[in-house]
Amino acid sequence: MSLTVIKPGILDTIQDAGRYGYRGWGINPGGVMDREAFQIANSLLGNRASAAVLEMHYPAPKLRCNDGLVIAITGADFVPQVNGTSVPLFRPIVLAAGDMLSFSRPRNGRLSYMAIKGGIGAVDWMGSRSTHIKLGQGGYHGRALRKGDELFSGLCLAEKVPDNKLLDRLLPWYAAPDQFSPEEPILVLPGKEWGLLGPAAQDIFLGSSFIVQQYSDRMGFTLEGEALHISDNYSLVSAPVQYGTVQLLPKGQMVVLMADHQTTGGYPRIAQVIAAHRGLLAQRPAGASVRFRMTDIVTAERLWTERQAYLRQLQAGCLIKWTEIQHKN
Amino acid sequence: MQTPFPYSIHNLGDDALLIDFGNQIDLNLNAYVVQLHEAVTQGAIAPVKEVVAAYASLAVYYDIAEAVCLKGCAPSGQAYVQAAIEDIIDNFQPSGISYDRKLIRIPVCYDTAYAPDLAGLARSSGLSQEEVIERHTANIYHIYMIGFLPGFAYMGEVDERIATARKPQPTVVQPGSVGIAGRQTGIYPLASPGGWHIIGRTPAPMLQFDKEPPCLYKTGDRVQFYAITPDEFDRY
Repeated sequence: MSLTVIKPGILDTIQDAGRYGYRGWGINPGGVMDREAFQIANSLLGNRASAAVLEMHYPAPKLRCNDGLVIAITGADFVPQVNGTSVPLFRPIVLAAGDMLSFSRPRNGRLSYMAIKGGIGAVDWMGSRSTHIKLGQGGYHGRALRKGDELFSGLCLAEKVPDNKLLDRLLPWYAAPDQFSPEEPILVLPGKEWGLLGPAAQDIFLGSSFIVQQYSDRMGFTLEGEALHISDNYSLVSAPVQYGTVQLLPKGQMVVLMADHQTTGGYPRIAQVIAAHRGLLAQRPAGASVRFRMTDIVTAERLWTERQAYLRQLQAGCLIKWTEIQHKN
Repeated sequence: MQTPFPYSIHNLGDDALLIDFGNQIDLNLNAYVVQLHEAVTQGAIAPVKEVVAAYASLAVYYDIAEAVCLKGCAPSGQAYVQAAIEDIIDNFQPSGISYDRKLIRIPVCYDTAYAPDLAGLARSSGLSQEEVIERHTANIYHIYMIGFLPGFAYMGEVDERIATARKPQPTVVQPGSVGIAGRQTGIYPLASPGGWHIIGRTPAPMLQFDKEPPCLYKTGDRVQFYAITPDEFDRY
């Protein structure tokens, strides 16, 4: 059960929730940038929560299905098409041998996720199938996909696809997550060095809009906008950081550390993006604007636990649907 | 109970906490932090996933949902985890710097071909290249932390006479390169841009992907370098 890469995208990598326990050796967890999209994709297919998925940037790959498979696409809308006909996001799609999956344009967002029923077979390194590109470990042999690569599903699909009509292709359930919110402010907690920003700089941080720079990537998003200045000439010893740490660079620009960030840093930490909003930020493409809003720990925790409760319900609901379908056949 | 080093705790997001002991590189402080890392890990606070030690700080990464579930009367899951950490720190008895630490000996070739900055460093220190090598290999270094790159260990203290501020502009550094910046020495396990003065190269791999853990050393270990010839480097 496999898909072949006919034309690779600009950066397609296999990812899962990441590898934990190795930060002490400078190996950061990595994993999907948009955790919600990842969870929804696996839930739709009744996969284990830890199943590996394909994370795609735009331009996304063109893939040929070699035999019967079920997939689901979540995250950004790159207008996916099967044999030239549009297919919806957030819904299980049945593919037959010879079907071509392609993505025609980036309607919104930065990252699209494709899950395959049964998970994507990949190299497990240090407890995760996430691709560690710098070390060349994990995922698809430690690298982005190339032409000719084959993605295998972990499952054998017995159902025969009835015929080529689009409606039969879609299984009868879907997720309806929140609409993409390109204007929504990113919630943050104050960083350790937040107090070193004078009131003027704090006002700029919370009051103005910043633009995601072109060369932003999985390691970090550089933000362009009004410069912020710290009162003292500050030199910090290296300390551990986190996905979402907002660093202030010497010239007054900010970098937000993303999924593949270095494990430690020496720049002032002025804010921390809350876990529930990291995926939201991760989906801002180059040129998109970012506004920040300060929140508190209680709100942050509530947002996270509420989202996780919804995702658990979705997972349970989809599992029931899969059971029904399997019993019918 | 009075702790030997005062600390403050800050959030590192809503799923991590940073215990900060000040902005300094101090051997006694770091030895304490390394031991505390062990104590917090052994403390097995349920939501905690990972604990990381650095020069003068300790980061604790935890699961939000689990912390919220267990918080009881605490105002937040984070407050619950913070209280548990403070409890461990306040009751922790350090055993001084003489706790049992592994000593790792690392071979280094200091030949010109592998040491682009050795001559320059010797000149600016007013020493011969042999003296620089002697002073570099004489010390037993303490690993303060690993970060910046996988397996990049920040080690100290380097002999005062060969300590040199890092380069203003980073250059391309080959994997295995051994360098000096300030009173720290370190090894680049991967090719990387770097600002440290490169005085040698090791043929020994710092990262071993098929081993668990995948690194030759860990924070708190001790390291000593020994000189090898270019022939020995090739035959390693």
